[in-house]
Amino acid sequence: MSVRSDLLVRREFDLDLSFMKTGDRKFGRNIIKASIMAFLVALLVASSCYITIQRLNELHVRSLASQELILSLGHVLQTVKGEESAQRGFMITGKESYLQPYLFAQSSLPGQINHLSQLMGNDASMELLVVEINAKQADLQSIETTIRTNGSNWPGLVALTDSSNRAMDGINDRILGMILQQENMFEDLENERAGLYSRVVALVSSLIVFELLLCGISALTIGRNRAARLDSERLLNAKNALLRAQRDEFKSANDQLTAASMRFESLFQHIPVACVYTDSKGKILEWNQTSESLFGYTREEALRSTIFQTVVPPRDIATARKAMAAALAGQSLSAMEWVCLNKKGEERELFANLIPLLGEDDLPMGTIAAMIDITERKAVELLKNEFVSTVSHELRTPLTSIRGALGLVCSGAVGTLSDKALQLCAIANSNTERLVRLINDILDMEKIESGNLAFNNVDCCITDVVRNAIEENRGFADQFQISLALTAKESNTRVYADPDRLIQVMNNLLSNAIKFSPNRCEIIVEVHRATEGVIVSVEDCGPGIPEEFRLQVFDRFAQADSGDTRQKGGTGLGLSISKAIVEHLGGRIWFDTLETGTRFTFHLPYATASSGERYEIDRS
Amino acid sequence: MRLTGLKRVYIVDDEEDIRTVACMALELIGGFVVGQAASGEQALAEAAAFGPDLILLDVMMPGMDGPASLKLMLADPDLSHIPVIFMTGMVQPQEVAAFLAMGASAVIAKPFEAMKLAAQLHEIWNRSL
Repeated sequence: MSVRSDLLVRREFDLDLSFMKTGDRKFGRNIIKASIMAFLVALLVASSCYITIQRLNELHVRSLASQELILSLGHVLQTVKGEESAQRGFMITGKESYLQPYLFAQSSLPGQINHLSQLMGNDASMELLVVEINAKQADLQSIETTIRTNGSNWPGLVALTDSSNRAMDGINDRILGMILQQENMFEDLENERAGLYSRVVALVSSLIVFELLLCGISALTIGRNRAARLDSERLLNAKNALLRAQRDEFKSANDQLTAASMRFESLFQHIPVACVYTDSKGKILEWNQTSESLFGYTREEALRSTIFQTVVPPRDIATARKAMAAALAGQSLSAMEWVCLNKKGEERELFANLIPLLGEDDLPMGTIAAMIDITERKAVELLKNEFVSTVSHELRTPLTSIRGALGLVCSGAVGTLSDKALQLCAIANSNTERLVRLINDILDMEKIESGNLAFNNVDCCITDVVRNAIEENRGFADQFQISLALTAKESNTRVYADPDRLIQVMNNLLSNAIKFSPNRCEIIVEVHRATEGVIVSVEDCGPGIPEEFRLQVFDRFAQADSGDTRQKGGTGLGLSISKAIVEHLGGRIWFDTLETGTRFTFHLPYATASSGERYEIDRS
Repeated sequence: MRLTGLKRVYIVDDEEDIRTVACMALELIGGFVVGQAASGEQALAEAAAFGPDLILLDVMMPGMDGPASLKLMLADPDLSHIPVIFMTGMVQPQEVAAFLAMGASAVIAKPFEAMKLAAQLHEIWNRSL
């Protein structure tokens, strides 16, 4: 594969891969975005959970402290009540054993109060409680002392006892109030903890749900991306297969193109036609070997110059530029005759075609001239024309004398001849006529071949032309007692033709029909209209054309039976000339072999208003 | 306009045999009085003295050819009124048209038919009346 085709294929592949990479990048960006979002949300939730858990821990500590405070308050109350009860028992019974709880309280209560004070901190209720407990302690000590001093029946003891009872009630109320306060606080803390816990649960749940959702979406996206990627890969594989097929096809085409190019190059260099490529200014771009031979300049010399500096004669530069302009405008000029100069300055006559040289954009960027050297041919043609003209004149001149003299002698104008002399004169006269026809036919044939046979076309009635031709040949037919019958259904059928040339055709057909028909038969001439034009036919009753000769009937000097034809005086050119004339007039001629005889038929197009113009265009 | 019939014919041809045959044909068959010249120069010099009603002029002649002779005849007051017929083998339509354009009255093809030559001249003469 050439570099160019390889690049083309590679570019196709690159296009598809870039499509895939674009899809992957998009998918990757989406995944990164989702991951960042998940991370941020998780960070936010974790931060919030952390703060909440910190708060929960704090609340837990405070709850524990509150519980401990309640317990401590309960212990203090229990201790004070036990102290009160112990003193009552002592006061009622007077037994020392009842004072054990009292004594225990006396020893443990300061520690309990101290512990309670530490738990409560700077609290006004605690300070009041401490004051009241101290006062109660003082009351209890006073009662104990009074009992021990005055006995349990001392009247003033009642007052002390009442005062102590009231103090006890106050302590009891205060401690219960404080417990209640702590219990309320504890409940508040628990409520707050429950709320925070719920929030944590909600946050974690939300996070889990969100992450699950994100995972789900990611999984879905990944799945879809995977499916899309698989589709893309399948598409890519299909495209790759197509591209490989195209590449192979391209390579095959490229190989063929390369081979064709080499064949063209070989042909270009060795074809016996001088080929010259030029740009729009006339600079020579390519110059084949035949050009080198024809003009004498090497390719290297030619490619350094223009056609105006090398081959175009100065007098023809304007004409050459005009032809180039036409080719650059897209016209193809053909069958031109140019005169060019070779390196020695000799003039060469060329038969040339000039066509546009198309660029990559399919627009003319220069010209291609294809030229054949016809210098020798033209010289030969000139010689031939001179020869034909000379022969024509030199043959006609003695023939004129012979024909005229024989005519006068045969007619008896210069004296009476014997029968044998008359017979010999008739033979001489007949062969003179044959020689005249032969010369005329040869000259006509030469003119047909050189394209110089002149036609004076007019709008004419074909029936009249045929009728005149029949009359011209009637004398010849009468010699053999042959009748000529004309059948023409329409009397005024017009064609655009040269009547003299049509008569020439009819004379050929009629004279052939007469010559090849047996005596006393009838030759039928028919003129009729058909869709495509006028049909004229001449039907003889001769032996027919031998099968082996049928393909050569219209060839020059074709004679089915030379011995017989010579007897009939034919030249072998009549049908060939007739065919050329009919075809020149836009018609055609053919023959049909009948059961008895042969029918020659020719067709001509009808004359129309534009026949003259069309004829001139066709001829040009 | 010619008021008289065709009686005197003048033949100009470099070929003596042709002149002889044509003279005999015109005299014997047509009954004309026939004069002749072997060249264009001779015709220009002598034709007026012969006083022809019609001149038969060959085209291809050495020296002064037919067309050159016709040109001078048309320029000659003594000959310009006499119809001139070219007698030639050059009878292609464009050649005939060219001869007629030069001023010839008609063209007769060579080789002519001696027995019909007189009749042809009569026909041309009558047609141009």
